[in-house]
Amino acid sequence: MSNQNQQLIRLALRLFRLAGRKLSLGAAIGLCLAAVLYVLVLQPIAEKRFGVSLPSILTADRPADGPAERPAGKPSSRPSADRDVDPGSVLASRGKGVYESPAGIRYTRGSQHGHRFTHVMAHARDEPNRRGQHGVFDDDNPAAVVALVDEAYELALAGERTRAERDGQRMVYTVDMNRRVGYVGGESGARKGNPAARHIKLVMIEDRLITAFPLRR
Amino acid sequence: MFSIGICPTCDAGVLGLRKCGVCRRVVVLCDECDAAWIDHRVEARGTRGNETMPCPGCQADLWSGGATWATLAEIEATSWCAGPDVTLTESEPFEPRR
Repeated sequence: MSNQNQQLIRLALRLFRLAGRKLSLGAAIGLCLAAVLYVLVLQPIAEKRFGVSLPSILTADRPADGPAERPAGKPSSRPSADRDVDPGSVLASRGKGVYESPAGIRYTRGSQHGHRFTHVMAHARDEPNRRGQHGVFDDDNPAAVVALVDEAYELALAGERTRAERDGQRMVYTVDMNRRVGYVGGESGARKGNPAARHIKLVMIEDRLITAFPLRR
Repeated sequence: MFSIGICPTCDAGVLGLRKCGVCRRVVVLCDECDAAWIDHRVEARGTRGNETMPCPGCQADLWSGGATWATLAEIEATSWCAGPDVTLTESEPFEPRR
C-alpha cells in the first residue's frame, strides 16, 4: 500500500472518530468522503490547472528515529567529494573567502574541507563508515542548513535553551531546537538505529563559525 | 587513519594522529572542531584552529604544508603512543581538500 493511501486511511479514521462524537453517522461519513475527494481529486486538479498550492490535509509521519525521507526525484543539493556547493549561492560574500549569513555568522576558510561552509555541509549527508557519531541534518538544502544554524546561533546569543561552555577564545553552544532537526549517523549512530537529533552543537570564535552539527543532546 | 578516541571539546570529532609537515611530530587532532594536542593528554590546553590549524609543537598548519595522517610505523616510533593509556583504532581517512 502506498504511503499516500496509508495516510488517507489514517486521516479518514481520525476524522470519523472526531466527527462521530458530535455529528450523526451520515454526516461523519459525508465529512470523510469530502476529505478524500479533496485529497484525491480537487487538490491535484486545482494545483495542475491553476498552478496554485493548496494546503495539504495529509501529514507526513516523520519517523522519530532514523534518517528522514528526502523527496524522491528531487536532485539532491548535498555536497559530495566531487561536487561542492558554492557558499555565495546562500551567503553574502564579504571578500577574501569570507561569507556572512543573515544572522551575522561568518563562514571563513578553515577545517579539513578548506572552508567552514563546506565543513558544515558535510553534515548534510551521513558518513556510515565514520568512526563515532556524525550528526546529519534532515534537510540537505544549503539554504535550509544555513537558516537552521542561524536559528541556533540566535537562540545561543539570547541564552535560550542553550548550554554554553567556554574553551579559550571559543564558545561551544549546545542548543535545544525543540524539534527534530536531524539524526545521529556515523558508525555509532547506525548501531543505535540512527536516533533523532533535536539539538545543534555550535563551536564559535565570536561571530566566526568553526563547526555546527545536529546531535541528540 | 589511526585515532585514539572522540574529542572531549565537541563530543563528536575523531581524535586522529597527524604528523606535522614541519616539525614531524605526531600530534592529536580533532577533525571536527579543529583542536589539537601535543600528545594523548587531551585534558591539557592544546591549540585551536581558525583559518589554519596550528600544530601544538610548532604552530605550522596541520591541514597543509606536507602534514599527513600518521602511519603505523610513525606512530610506533612515537614514545607517548606506546603508553598503556593509548588505544589505537584504524578507520577510513579523509584527505583534506585545501
